Amino acid sequence: MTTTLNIVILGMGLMRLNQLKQYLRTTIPSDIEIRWCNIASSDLHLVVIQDSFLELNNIQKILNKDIPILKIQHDHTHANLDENCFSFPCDDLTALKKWIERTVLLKQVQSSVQQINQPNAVKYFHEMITLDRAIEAPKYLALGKQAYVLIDHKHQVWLTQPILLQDFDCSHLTLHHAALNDVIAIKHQSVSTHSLIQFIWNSAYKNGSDKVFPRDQAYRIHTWPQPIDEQDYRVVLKLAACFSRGATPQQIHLLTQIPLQTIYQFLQACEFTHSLTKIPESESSFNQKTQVSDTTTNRISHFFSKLRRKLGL
Amino acid sequence: MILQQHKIVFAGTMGAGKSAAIQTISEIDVLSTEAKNTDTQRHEKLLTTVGIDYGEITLEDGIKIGLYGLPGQERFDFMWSVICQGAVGCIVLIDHSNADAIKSLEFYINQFKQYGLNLVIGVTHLDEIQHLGLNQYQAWLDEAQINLPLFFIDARKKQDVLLMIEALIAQYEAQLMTPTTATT
Repeated sequence: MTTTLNIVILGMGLMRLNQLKQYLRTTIPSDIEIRWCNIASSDLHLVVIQDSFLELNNIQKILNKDIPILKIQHDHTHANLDENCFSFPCDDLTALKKWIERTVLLKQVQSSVQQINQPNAVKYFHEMITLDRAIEAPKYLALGKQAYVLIDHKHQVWLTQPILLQDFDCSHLTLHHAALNDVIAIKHQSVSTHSLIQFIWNSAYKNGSDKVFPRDQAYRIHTWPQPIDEQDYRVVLKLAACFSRGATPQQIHLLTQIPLQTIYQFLQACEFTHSLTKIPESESSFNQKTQVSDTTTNRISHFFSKLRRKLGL
Repeated sequence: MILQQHKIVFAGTMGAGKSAAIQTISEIDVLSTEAKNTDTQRHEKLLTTVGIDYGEITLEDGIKIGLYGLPGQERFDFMWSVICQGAVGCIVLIDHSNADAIKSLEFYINQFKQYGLNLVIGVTHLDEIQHLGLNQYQAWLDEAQINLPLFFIDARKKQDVLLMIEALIAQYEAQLMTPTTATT
């Protein structure tokens, strides 16, 4: 990613121009240089323009549609930042900072990386785990449809903007080597930290399974997955609780009514993250019928159903 | 102190997020006994729980579930067995920014294992320190041959707290389905 942002400001008086420059300098990380340009510059990264100027024909012709545009209006009555329109003057620059991160910095990261020719990113993750703990392992950027994460192999973490976590579409990933500037740019943003293994588990689980596991082979998992998607909590954790005790797919299918395909999907994701072990069938915890009375089971199930309903689980 | 029949317990080091986690799901204002922290070597938190945090959820039939946050300091461990009796399970929160995080994990697992509770581990404060790897926790569990759910969470986020509660329930339900550990 470039460490210089080329910005043009149009249609402002000198006092407001200076104040806007100050706002932008405050909101853009200090290690990124800002070059104040004119509209004729060929490599602009951001155009800041007074709202009323935008409709002028000449301006419309000049503006390249790929360049982010921040419109400025002089209005105390509106919110600081509404869509791409910034109300001036402003006391709180938080919204502007986030807009810059999302619209300008992210765009720079996405356009500057060198893509690895890799048709299936999940396979790549598998190699990353296999090669893990290599101290000098490079950092990667994984790009989804609307978001990106920085994968830090050394510390086994991935970083992303918290707001994008739920939107991350693991099935449409591409991987790129991250340049030092990408890492700096991302770490300057409000990122949250997550376990790399869990990210890979979720990517593999969301990608589905093309593998059929023998129904009567017993397996045990030694690491519980952490589902990202709230909708997966119940099924994934139920499967994790069962397979952490040792079980066969058939036993769990019969006991829980969870479709075999979902069980295979779960097992494949666990296999992918090296947390699945084959065990002799005799070590399955579900070989005999339980001795708990139906009344007790029903009472407890009923209790947990009510608790789940209450909590929205 | 109100001792409900149905309980979920939150334990862990000082400042790990027990009070915050209870606050995210409690239907009542959390009753806290907080005082000025004099143990600043352990944590820089200004106020800390010296008694028990208490929150509550009421189910549709009026049954109340007590949410208990155990005091972080080990000198209060005499209370733990009383509170833990009959609990659905215990959520152990470990502060990743604490230099002794692994020692804390070991201490709490050993303590709460003896009460026979279902346990879930939540590692918190992930953003505060980035030079320590997250895989150290699972590596420790693997080495100690302990198979427990371990999650990396933000105790202030309801979604993360619900994840841990669902894991407690899932463990309890799996336990009911296995003959070796089932209780009547």
